Formats: sequence, C-alpha cells, structure tokens
Amino acid sequence: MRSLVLVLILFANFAFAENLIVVVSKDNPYTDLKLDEINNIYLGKMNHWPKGQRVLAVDLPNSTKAKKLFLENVVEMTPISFEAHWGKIQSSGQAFPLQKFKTTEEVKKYLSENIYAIAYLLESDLDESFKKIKIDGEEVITPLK
Amino acid sequence: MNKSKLTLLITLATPLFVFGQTKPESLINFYGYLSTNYEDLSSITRPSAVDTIETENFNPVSGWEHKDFHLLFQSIISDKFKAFGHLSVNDAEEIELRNYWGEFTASEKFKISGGKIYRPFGLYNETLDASASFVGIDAPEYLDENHPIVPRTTTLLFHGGGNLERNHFRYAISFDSGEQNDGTALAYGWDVSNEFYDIFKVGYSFYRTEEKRGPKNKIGEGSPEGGVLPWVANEKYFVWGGYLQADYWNFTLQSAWWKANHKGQRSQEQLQILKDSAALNDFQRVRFFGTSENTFNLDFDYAVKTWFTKIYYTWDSEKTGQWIPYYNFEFYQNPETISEVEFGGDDKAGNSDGGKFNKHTFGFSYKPNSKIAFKTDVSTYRYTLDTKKEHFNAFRIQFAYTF
Repeated sequence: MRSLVLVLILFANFAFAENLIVVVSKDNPYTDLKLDEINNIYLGKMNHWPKGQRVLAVDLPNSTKAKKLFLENVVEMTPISFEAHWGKIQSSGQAFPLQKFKTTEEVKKYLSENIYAIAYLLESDLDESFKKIKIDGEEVITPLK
Repeated sequence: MNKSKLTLLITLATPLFVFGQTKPESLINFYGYLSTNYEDLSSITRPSAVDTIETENFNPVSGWEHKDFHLLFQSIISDKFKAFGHLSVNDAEEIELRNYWGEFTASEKFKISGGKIYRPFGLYNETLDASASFVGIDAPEYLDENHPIVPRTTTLLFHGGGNLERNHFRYAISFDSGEQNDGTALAYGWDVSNEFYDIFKVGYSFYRTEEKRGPKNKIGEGSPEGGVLPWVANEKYFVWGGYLQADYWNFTLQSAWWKANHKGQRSQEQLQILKDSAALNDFQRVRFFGTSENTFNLDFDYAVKTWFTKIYYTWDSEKTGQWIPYYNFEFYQNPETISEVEFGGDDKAGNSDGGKFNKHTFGFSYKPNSKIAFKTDVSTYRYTLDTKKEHFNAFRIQFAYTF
C-alpha cells in the first residue's frame, strides 16, 4: 500500500508540476540572464538591458498560475506585497510601471511588437512566436513551492 | 471646484477610465490615488500670546482635514529619455504640480534628471507625497510640511545604481538654489544607499548650502521650505544623517538619525515682530532677547536633532488581505523654533522648553486588496513647558484608493 501511495505521489508531481519560462521577442539579442537579474527587473531595480535598451517588463494577473509561481519562486513576495512595492517605486518615478496584460495571447502580441519586452509564462505556453531566455544557464525555472 | 479645474482633471483622468490601469500599447502610464484624512487632537498646553498668562490650553480643530486627489504619469520617450509628472488637488481645490522632471539615461549607473524632483534623502522623502502605500499616516517630523529640516525638492540630479546579485547600490547627487530669497547661491546634497540580500538597507544623506542665505519666507509669509526660519537674516547650514532598514521574516525595522547645523544672524526687524506679537515661552524669550528689556540676540549657532525607530509586522492573508501593525518612536529637537505656525514656527517643538519633544505612535494599516488602503494610528506627544511635563494625543484615520 505504501508503495502505491509513493507511486501516486510521484505520478502526481510529474503530471501537474509546471515549469516557468522567461521569454522575449525573437528579435531580442539577449539569450541569457541570471535569476537575480530577473528578480531585479521585476522589483524595478534593473530598468535597462546590459546595452542600455529600456526593459519593458510584462506582468500577468494575480489569478494566473504563471504569476503565482513567479511570485513564489522568483521575487518571493505575496501578490499584495508585490503590488505595494510597485506602488511605492513607480509613484516616485524610480521605475517604469509593469506592462499589465490579462491573457497570454495579449502578452505574445506585445512581445512580437516590442523587442525589449520581457515576460514570464508557463512552459506549456511556449510557441514559435517568441524565444526563451536561459536563466542561470537553465531552460526553465522549476518551481520549488 | 470651479469649471476649468474640473475640466482639466477630467481631461487628465480620461485615459484611466478608457484604458484601465495601464495602456500596454502605449509607453505612457497614468496612475494615482485618492485619499482622505481624519485627525482628532486633544487639548494642547502651549505658550500664550497674552503677556500676563504664560501658557494656555488650546483646542485644535478636528475633523476630515485632507481630501487629496493625485494624478501621476510616466512616459518613455525613448530608451534614453523619460518624463514624469505628479499633479495633486487638495481640499482647498488648489491644483498643484508637485513634481515634474525629465530624465536622460546614459546607463543604469548614470542618469541625469532635471525639473522639480523630490530629493533622495532617507527612507521617505521621495515617496511620502506620491504613494498611499507607506506605513504610517504622519510624516516623520523632519519632513513635516511646517518644519522640514531640508528643502524637499531639488532641481538637478545625477544619480544611478548597480546590482551585484541581490545587492543593490544607489547614489544621487543633487544641485539647486535651495531655500533662499535671491536664487543665486548653490546648494548641494547627496544620498547613497546599499541593499544587502533583500534584508538590510543602509544609507547616508547630506545637504549643504554653499553660501550664507536668508529665508524664502519672512514672518507671515508661510512656513519655511527647508531649515531657514523666517526671522533669520542670513545663515549657513548643513544637514546630515543616516538610515537603515532591516527586513527579516515578516518584520521590518526602520531607523534614521539626522542633524542640521545652523550658524548665522537673526534679523532685528523680524525679532521685533516676534517680540510684539508671537507667543513665546520663557526659554524662547531669553534665547532671542536675553534678560534685559531692549536687547536682541542676533548671533546663533544651534543644531536640530531628530531620530526615529519604527517597527512593523506584515501579515498577508489570502482571505482578508494585508494587515500591518506598527509602532514608531520619534525624538525631535529644534531649540530655535517657536510654537505658532503662522509665524513660521513648529506647533509641536515650539511649545516646549528647548524645542524638544518625543512621540510614541501605535497604529495599523489594512489593505483588503492592492487598491484600497485603510490606516489608523494614535500618537502621544510628550514635552516640557515652563518646567512642567505636558502631553497631548492625536488620533488619525486615512482611507486611500489607488488607481
């Protein structure tokens, strides 16, 4: 019986664990970022790409699974703390506000129109219209939580 | 509110209702907040303007004091240029352009901003008027609108920062003509801070006037914009201090310490106005006029000192929202000031012997969601007047809606 439970748990993890990816336009010249850089971009502490182009960070609604995983595993904040943090830094002009979209389709359209935009999505949302950025040399961010 | 002001507001606010919070296709973002404050103060014992009575009990007006509307925008003009604006309307229906600046970015490490910019100075100066999300309702005493120890805005700012993993370094060097009456002197300041691993933030701020200067406002023309009091003829001053913040688990500890050194001469003409009309306690009379009948002490050399420690706990609940109880202790001393705000004084420090008081505040902030904030707090101010220990209390409530 114990073995059966272990198998079921293992199966459940494989079946439902979703990885996060960080994506940009296909024309974006950058291919690698560190996880700390992603964190800094989404906390408004890094507003430009290494060669000076302005970063346009894309954000999804709190209700999406991608946003939930992103907050828990990358910026390590609750949704309300994340919003409060942005309220503070955007009001003083220290960072340009996040570009907010409701659906992954809108995100894809925005990425195709803005070379220096960056977004997080679930791995299952990946398609050929944009490209994945390697994070610390890895293709995906595997959620720990 | 008159028709033209209303039209301007509607024009500026229209994109909010058309596009919602953000218009992603555009590189202009509009946002802002509405807020309203209630304040109730207990009876205050203060120096009396009537010669025969040394102190009096004063009952300040209580009620919904501030109803503010704030509209902010940021625009990315290009990778190298952006613009920012902050417009507010207060309960007197006055429209004020609080902030406006353009920024040139050479790199993350070096940016130049010009306009009217809140000076990077400590933990609060940049966000105090722009955000409804900070913990606490009252401004720290050193930034109080009636008696700030430093001019809150600057004209030209060189600034930047860098990241090393999760350490973030930030610097800012500011230049302006400061608070003065002829606009020709140079004032400069800086602020440097470093954040370590999302836990500690430490910083140091400085401001200095290069030449002797007089106040922008004489007696009766309003509160000082920085540290120069209205009865000063000319003075040279500098402000310096440090601050730290530590975040661990859900607790945040903030502390800051500031000192402003002032050296110069008072105006005999302005002192005469104080002597004839202002409410002064014994300490202040001796300070300005000595003990004989017709003398004026014109030279001064004093320091304003202040520090605070604040601790708060952030509790996020998926069901109810965010709760933040907090406690703040603050000490403030300005031996030069007087009690009456109408004369450019400070209605807290100016009440006391030596211009000294301390303040305990308990309160909490509640956000059911990221749009709505409710805050309430209770403060007790303690001071000594004519060698007697006195105190008064303040109760405040604030509602804010962010859009």
